Amino acid sequence: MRSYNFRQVGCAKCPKREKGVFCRLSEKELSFIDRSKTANVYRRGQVVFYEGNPPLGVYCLFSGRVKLYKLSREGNGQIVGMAGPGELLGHESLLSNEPYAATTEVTDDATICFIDKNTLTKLLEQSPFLALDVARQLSRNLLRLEDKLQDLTQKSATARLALLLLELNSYSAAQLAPPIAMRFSRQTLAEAVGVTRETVIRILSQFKRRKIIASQGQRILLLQPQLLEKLAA
Amino acid sequence: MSNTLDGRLAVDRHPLGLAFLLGHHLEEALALSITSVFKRDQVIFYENHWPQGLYFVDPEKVSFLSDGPGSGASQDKINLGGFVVLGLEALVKGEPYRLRAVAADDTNIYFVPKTVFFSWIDRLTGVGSQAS
Repeated sequence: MRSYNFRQVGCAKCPKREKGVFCRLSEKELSFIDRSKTANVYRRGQVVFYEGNPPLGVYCLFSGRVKLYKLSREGNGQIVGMAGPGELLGHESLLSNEPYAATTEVTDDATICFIDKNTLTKLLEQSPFLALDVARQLSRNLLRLEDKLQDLTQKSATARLALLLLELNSYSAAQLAPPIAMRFSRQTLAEAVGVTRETVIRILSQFKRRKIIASQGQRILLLQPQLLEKLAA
Repeated sequence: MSNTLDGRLAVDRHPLGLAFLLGHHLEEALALSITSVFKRDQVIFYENHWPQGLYFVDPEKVSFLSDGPGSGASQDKINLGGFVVLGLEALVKGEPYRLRAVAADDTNIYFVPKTVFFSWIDRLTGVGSQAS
């Protein structure tokens, strides 16, 4: 069995920090986080936090990918977001003091650092840079959601699926040729796009016939990303 | 530190001593906690994960499982006035959990983050005031 006792990277040396909200913290502030954080390796399918639970803190992705989804009363999932290395999770709920709005599940094995509520609150009080950068990330998330809402109401299912494949590819850790839109089931893609599984299968078949994509099990190879971009526009 | 305690705490603290303190100040400890409702089959923590804090749970509503060689292991837990405290030993010794804790039924889980817990212990035992 693979060991979980990995060597932990300190925040000051974390290569993902430059992309995230902690990029402008001082060494002293970073060491404050180091002393209180907990880093864990989550396997594919494991849940980081559940929708409806109160926020215990924030989660910072060091590696791997997660999906955020909400469950309907009937128990159907609707993916509301994805996140990759360097991104922060749960801060919206923590700052608004509202329960987590979605369940976060790991889609690619991930190393995730947990910073508890108390620690983050103290840091926010001390560092105006952090407060500003968190506000910036919140604003970016809001803009992204507005775009998604517009896509959902104005774009066709084909355009939304093309957009999703491109988005998933942008989360890909390695730049591969041809690009790979990660490992996702047709059902997950359907939940993310907001259509039925059958519709996803039909559109993917069209893409395959036109040699825009190819499949390798659950992996989707983007043979012609530029064509997908046109379809997504 | 992060996944382990800092040197001072690891040396000074012993799970039994802390359990004794918790038993005598249970209400105070619970007042520090954040209450979550876990639905049946939701995972409270995973096997091999490092502890983020302490969990106070209803012993009849949480089960412990293992995905692999940990099936023979037992989760460290301490009975305190109707509650079970999960993971005190793992937290103090800086060890990962041996088993996965899952809600066997809808249940309240009281979580105290490790930073809050150790600050409280320091206040309780006067370590903080001695240090300053």
